[in-house]
Formats: sequence, C-alpha cells, structure tokens
Amino acid sequence: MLQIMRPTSRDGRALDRKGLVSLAACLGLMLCIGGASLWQAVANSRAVAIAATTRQQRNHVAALLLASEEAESSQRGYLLTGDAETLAPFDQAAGEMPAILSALAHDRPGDPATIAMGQAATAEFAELARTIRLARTGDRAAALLAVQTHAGRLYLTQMRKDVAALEASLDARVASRLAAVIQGGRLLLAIDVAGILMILALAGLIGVGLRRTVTTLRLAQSRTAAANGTLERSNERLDDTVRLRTAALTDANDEIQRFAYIVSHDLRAPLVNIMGFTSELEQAAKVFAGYLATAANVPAAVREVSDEDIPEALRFIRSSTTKMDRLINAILRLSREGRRTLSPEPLDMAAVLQAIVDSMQHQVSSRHASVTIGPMPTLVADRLAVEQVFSNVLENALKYLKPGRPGQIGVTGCHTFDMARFEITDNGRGIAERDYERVFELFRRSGDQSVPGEGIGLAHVRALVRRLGGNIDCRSVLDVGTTFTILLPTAPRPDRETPA
Amino acid sequence: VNAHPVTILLIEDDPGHARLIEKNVRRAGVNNAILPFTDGTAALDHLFGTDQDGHRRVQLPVLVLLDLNLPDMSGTDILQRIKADGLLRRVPVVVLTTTDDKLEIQRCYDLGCNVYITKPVEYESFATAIRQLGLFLAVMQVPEAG
Repeated sequence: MLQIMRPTSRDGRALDRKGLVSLAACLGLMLCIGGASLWQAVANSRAVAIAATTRQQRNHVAALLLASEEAESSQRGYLLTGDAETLAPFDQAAGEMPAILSALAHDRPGDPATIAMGQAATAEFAELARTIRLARTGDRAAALLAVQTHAGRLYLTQMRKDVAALEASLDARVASRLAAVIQGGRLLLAIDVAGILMILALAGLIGVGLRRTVTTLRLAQSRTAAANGTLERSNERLDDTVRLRTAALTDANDEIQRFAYIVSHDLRAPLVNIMGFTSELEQAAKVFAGYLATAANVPAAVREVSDEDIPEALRFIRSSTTKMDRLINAILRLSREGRRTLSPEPLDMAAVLQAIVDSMQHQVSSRHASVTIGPMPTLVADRLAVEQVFSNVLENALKYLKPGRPGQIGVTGCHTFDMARFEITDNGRGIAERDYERVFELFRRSGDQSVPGEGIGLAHVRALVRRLGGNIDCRSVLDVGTTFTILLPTAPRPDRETPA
Repeated sequence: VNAHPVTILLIEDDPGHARLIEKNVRRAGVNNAILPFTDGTAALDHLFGTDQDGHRRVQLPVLVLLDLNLPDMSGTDILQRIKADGLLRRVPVVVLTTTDDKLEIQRCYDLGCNVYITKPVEYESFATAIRQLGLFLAVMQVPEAG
C-alpha cells in the first residue's frame, strides 16, 4: 500500500509548488496594478491642482489688466471733462492694485515676467497719477502733453503683451498636464487590462492545477479506499479460511476419534472368535490327548502332533491374541480419553504430585529410589488428565532406572508467562537422542527391551498434554538420566479445547 | 420352569459369536430352542411379521439376546421397537455386545433393556459370562404374553 501511496503524494507536492508560484505571481501583479493606479491618481490630483492654480493666476492677471485699463479710461475721462467724479474708477482700481500685485507675486514668486508685469502696472499707475495731479493743479496742457507722449499707452501695451504671453504659457502648461493625465490614464488602462488578463490566465493555471491536485487526491483516496476494501475483504477471507480450517480440523479430529473407536470395537469381535474357538480347540485337543494316552499302537508322529505341535500352535495363537487384545485396548483407551470432556478445576500441583508419589510408594521403595518434589505452581486443569500425565511419566522414570544405581527422581515446577513448566528428572538409563521423538509414538519403545511394556504410556501422555493445550518433550543422556519437560497452560484456553 | 417353553432369539451378526454363545448357554444346562438371526431385518420380520389374517406370527414367550452392532441397523432400533410394541413390551431383552461405552449402556437401559452384558474379549471371561447368563436364564421367569 505504501508503494501505491508514495508517487501520488509526490505528484501532489509538485502541483502545490506550481500553484504557489502562480499564486505569488498573481499577488505581485495585483500589487503592481494597485501601485500604478495609486501613482496615476496622485499624478491626476496634482495635475488638477496645477490647473486650478493656473486658472487663478489667469484671473489675477486678467484683473490686473482690467484694473489698469479702467484706471486709464478714468484718467482720460477726467482729462477731457475735468469732472472729479470721473476719477472714481481710477481711485478704486488704484486701491485694488496692491492686493492684485501681491496675489500675483504669491502665485508666481520670482517669475521675471510677473515681476516685469507688476513693474509695468506700477509705472502705468504712477504715470496716470502724475497726469491727474497736473490736471488738478490746473496745468491741463502739461497733462495732455504727457498723454500725447504715449508714455502711459506704452506701459499698457507692454502689459497686454506680457499678459498674453503669460496666458499662453499658462494654457500650454495646463494642456501639457492634461495630456499627461490622459496618457497616464491610458497607460493605467493598458496596465489594468494586461493585469486582468494575466490574473485570469494565472487563475486558470491555478484552477487547472487545483483540479489536477483534487483529481489526484480523489484518485489516491479511491485507491486507498480500494486498498482498504481489498484488505478488509482479504481479512474476511482469512477469517473464513481460519473458520473453515478449524472446522475441517475439528471434523478430522472427530473422524479420527470415531475411527479409533470403531476400529477397536470391530477388531475386538473377530478376536473373541479367535480366542473362543482356540479355547474350543484346546478342549478338543485335550479330549484327543486323553484318548491317545490310553490308546495302544499310536504312531510316534501322531503322538508328537498331539503332545507338542498342537499345544505349541495354540500357545502362539493365545499369546498373539493376548497381545493384540492389549493393543486394541490401548487404542480404545486413547480414543476414549480423546472423547472425554475435560472439566478444569484449580489444582494444587504439590498436593497432586504428592498423592501420585504416595500411590507408587511400593514401587519406589522396592527399587531403592527416592522422589523429591520441589516448589509447585497451581493451575486450572482437568484433574484426571493431569494425574494421568504425571503418574505415567513418574512410572516411566521408576521403570527405566539404571539397575544397580539408587534412583533419584526430582520434580520441579515454575510459571513462565501463561504456562506452567514442569521438569521430571531421573538418573535412569537414559534415551538415545535419535529416540527423543520415538518414545512418544504409539507402540514404539526405545533402548533395551528387557522391561515389559506396550509403548503406550508416553503416546497417551503426549495426547493428553496436547489436549490440555500444552506440550511435552524430553532431553536425555544415555546412562546418565532423562529430563521430561511438560508445559501446561495455567488456565484452559477455550479455543484450544477440542470438542469431545 | 415356564408353562410353555421359552424360545431364545439370538440376534447376533457374527456367526462365530452366535455359536460360542449357544455352546456356552447349553453348557449351563439351558435346553430351550435357540433361533439365531444374523441381521436386524430378519429378526424384525420374525418379531413383527403377520400372517394372511393379520395376526402376529411370533410365538410367545420369547427372550431376546441382542447384539448392538448389526450390519443393517443398530440393535437399539430393535430394542426401541420391542419396548414400544403392545405385544412384546414385556419380552426380556438381554443386550450382549462388545461396547462398554457408559453412554451406550445408559441409553439401552433408558430404552427399557432388562440386562446389559459386555462381551469380555478374554475368551475365558466370555465363556464364564455366557455360562452365568445361561444359569440366570434357566431360573428366569418370562411373562407369557404382552
């Protein structure tokens, strides 16, 4: 699953980086457009302000010219009529003059054209005032002469020229500002349009990237879901398999139990016949032998058959059937043990082992052996099964002691995790390494066969221990001794318990 | 002892066993007729068969020696039918089989068997057991009819 996921996440990271770059570019562009707009707005407002001051300057210049012309008209009127009342406009214009001049100086400080215009206006007014003074003092001829010299006229003409030049320059300035504003506006528009187009393009890119990322994520999600689904299904299949196998094993186990039971029963029936009719044959042979014993002229061969051959054959038949009977009984016992329902109970193993040793006291003392029981754990298990296991192993230890050596048998026990571990150690004749497993097989025995036995005990023990959910094995050194290790669960595991 | 001689029905699939049982019963001094059956069907036919008029053919009193392992049916089926039959329910049934399974013995007594004997595998024990059974049968009272 990891192998499926890894490339997917790498794709996702790549798309993220591309998307981030696009996003940053978008933000940059928007900042540029904003800055340009701000710059343009500032330029516009400055241009408007300049236009406003320019208009004001024109007004001031126009007012100066108007005042100068009115003052001249008023002077001419007075010189013509001699009426003092015609001098009122002159006086008004002369009164307004300093304010207009100061405004002009304020508008364009240090501008030589303005200064020249102001000087011309001042000179004009001074000339006009001089002629008016001459006329008042009665020297009208001198005044008219002064007018005829065109001194005042020259000042005014000069002023008109200056004003026209100033107005033209002011107009040109306003026009250039306006042109700059319009150009800036166009530029801004172009920038805006370009920016919007680029933002749209980048947004498109981001959109595509996002869609691809989302698609990838969805794909990864669906893959994960699919993988999880597969995992779940395979888990279910595994569960099913385990259930099926367990059921099959249980069935097989039951089948083996039934088989062992049926075989042992069906083998018993013919055995009864063999033994029964052997017995009948013996009776018949005895009748014959009795007759032959009293009869005369019996050939030696017939006597031999009756006295030796027939009894010998019958003896072999009998010993064989007896052995077969024991084997069948052993199978029957094993199968019955497998069918018995275990009933676990708390067991004080020290007491259980002491009871087993006490019951074998006669064998122990007759073999000059001693049995020591070490500290014992407690466990919850079927009493009969546990007793059979330990009594079989202890009996074996006693049975296979080394002749001529006092037997020493020790039993120890301890807890390891959820199992109890027991060790039964003897100083007996030992088991060859190749026979470690063989001793647990049914009808198989190890070593010298001087001690009678069927090869059933340990097979029975192993079957019992396994049924209890434990295990048994052995380690041994020939002529030194053997240790049987028995592992038993401290409490029964329900899943391990095979139904009877 | 009985007013009418009791017929012994020996239902046993193994002819050897049947013969050994018969020999040992006779050795105990039982002289009653012994009818051997080697399968369940023949035995049931004898016990439950009717003639043309619909009357049961079986001649009472009888005593049944029954083996449980029959080739065509289980002996317990025969036991069950005998004990459920109005005419035969008082017929003594002696189960004589190799099985010494506790549950099987309980089941047979639950079904109404009168005696349960396990055939010993050891022939001497077997012969002794059958002879003792023969002695028992010789003094046993068998009801006349259902």
